[in-house]
Amino acid sequence: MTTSLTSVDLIAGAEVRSGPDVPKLAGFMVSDFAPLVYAAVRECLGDPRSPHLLDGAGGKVAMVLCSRRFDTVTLELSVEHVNRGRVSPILFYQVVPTAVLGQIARDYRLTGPVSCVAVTGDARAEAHELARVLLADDSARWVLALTVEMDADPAKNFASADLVRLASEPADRNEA
Amino acid sequence: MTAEVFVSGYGVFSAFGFGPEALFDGAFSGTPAFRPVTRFDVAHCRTGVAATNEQVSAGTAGPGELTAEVASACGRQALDMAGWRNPEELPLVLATKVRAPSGEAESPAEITEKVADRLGVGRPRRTFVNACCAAANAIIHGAQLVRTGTAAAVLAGGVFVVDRQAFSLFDAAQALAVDGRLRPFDQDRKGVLLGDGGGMLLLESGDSIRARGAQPLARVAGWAMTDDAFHVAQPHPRGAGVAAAITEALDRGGVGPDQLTYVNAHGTGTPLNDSAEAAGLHAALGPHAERVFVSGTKSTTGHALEASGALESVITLLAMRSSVLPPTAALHRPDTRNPLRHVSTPERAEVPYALSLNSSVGGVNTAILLAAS
Repeated sequence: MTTSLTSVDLIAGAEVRSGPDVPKLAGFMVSDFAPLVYAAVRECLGDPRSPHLLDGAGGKVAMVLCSRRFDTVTLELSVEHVNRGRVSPILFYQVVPTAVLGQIARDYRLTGPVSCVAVTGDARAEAHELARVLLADDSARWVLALTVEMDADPAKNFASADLVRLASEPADRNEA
Repeated sequence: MTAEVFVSGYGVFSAFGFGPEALFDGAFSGTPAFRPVTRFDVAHCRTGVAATNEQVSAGTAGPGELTAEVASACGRQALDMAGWRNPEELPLVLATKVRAPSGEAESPAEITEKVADRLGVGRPRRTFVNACCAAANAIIHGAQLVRTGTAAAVLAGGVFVVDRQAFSLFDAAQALAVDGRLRPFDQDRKGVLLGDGGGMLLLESGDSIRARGAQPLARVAGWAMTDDAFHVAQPHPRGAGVAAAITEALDRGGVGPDQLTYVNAHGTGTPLNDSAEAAGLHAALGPHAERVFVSGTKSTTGHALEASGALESVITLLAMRSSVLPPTAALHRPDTRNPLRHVSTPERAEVPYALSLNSSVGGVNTAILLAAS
């Protein structure tokens, strides 16, 4: 038997779809997956090299990335490489879903919890539910609830980023 | 109001076999389980060994089905050990790997659904895939569900069975030890070796345990997850994220470094990871870093990747329950920088508090603090 947690406030949100406007991301060249996730976070928070929504928040921010199958492009490429007996070493970390979150953590100086959760249904709803658990447990004060989906049609690839906090939190983030 | 979280049952699988006895006989005697890989062709690889269990085989069903079988078996062990009679009341939190659709039609979350249906458990059903921290994250999430009163009890853990895909990627990255030994914290360490692993823990609130008249095996006294915020694939050289995770887990448990007796280290046997972890232990524990017992049990079990946090939490719990510390096998010349009190042969010690640590690509770190109960 389970009970529900309190609701969260959406502070900012963004959704990014594949296309020429999505900037490349150094180190992640074979797939749109990581560039999309990174672009969604930048759209949501602001550029990491400028003042942004989580400046100074550091260890109080968690990231949760939800997806049905994560980076299917890189996963399929890695299968092709294994089948032909010659595997590119760069796929070793590119195929891992935490890799792009590590890059986001570095650029935005986020030192809190990082999770990747596979889903069968509504990824955004699940990311928000996981955020509620982290916030209720005092494991974070803010959560970047992220989703990403890759499609056989690359034009349908998209990522979303929602910055949420407990509904009862004070309005001024900087007082924490 | 928050609830205390206890472990009331567990199931475990490793290269040594199913169940705690096989694991204890192997890992706690310091016997490495590495053997030539026969599960798939390794002729093209630099290294041909892993800690695989020959009793299980993917056969034609594929690694996804084998993962589900092992997870279901570990789940049943946990429920039986705990004497839990109402699986439909339990959420399931499982750690497993991401999979290419062309090779494995079932998605990670569909594997969790399959395991849940076989065990007859309820909802939510969640699937953590954050690499080497996935199972620790699954256990932490289960503990959070219990602590926050979201659930009275949760079945949580992870499973990894060595497959051709993971093996080939590690081999291509030259991450596997060419000498066929995984030697955490040894100056001559050559890298990691993979191993089968699985563990499912029944996490339960104190109220639920008392209401059932059951006995807890240990208390989950604290936990933490952090990120290094340093590099996409390399750990922070001074173990900043590891130190933060240790400190936060101890703080949450109200435990000082001097109360800590044993640390089951992530200890992958890779030069950068072990150095960072040792530095992190020193940063977090201060002078006590040289007094607390530390072992890297991947030296016997191999690295169970997404499942390592579950397998090693069970090993940590076994150390606590048996008062025997599992050794780091093949440790002959320990690192002298950031020295640690390594368990190099099986050692007897009372363990009131112990930590299980894990780290993964992306700078992610976990710490789970267990307390004797």
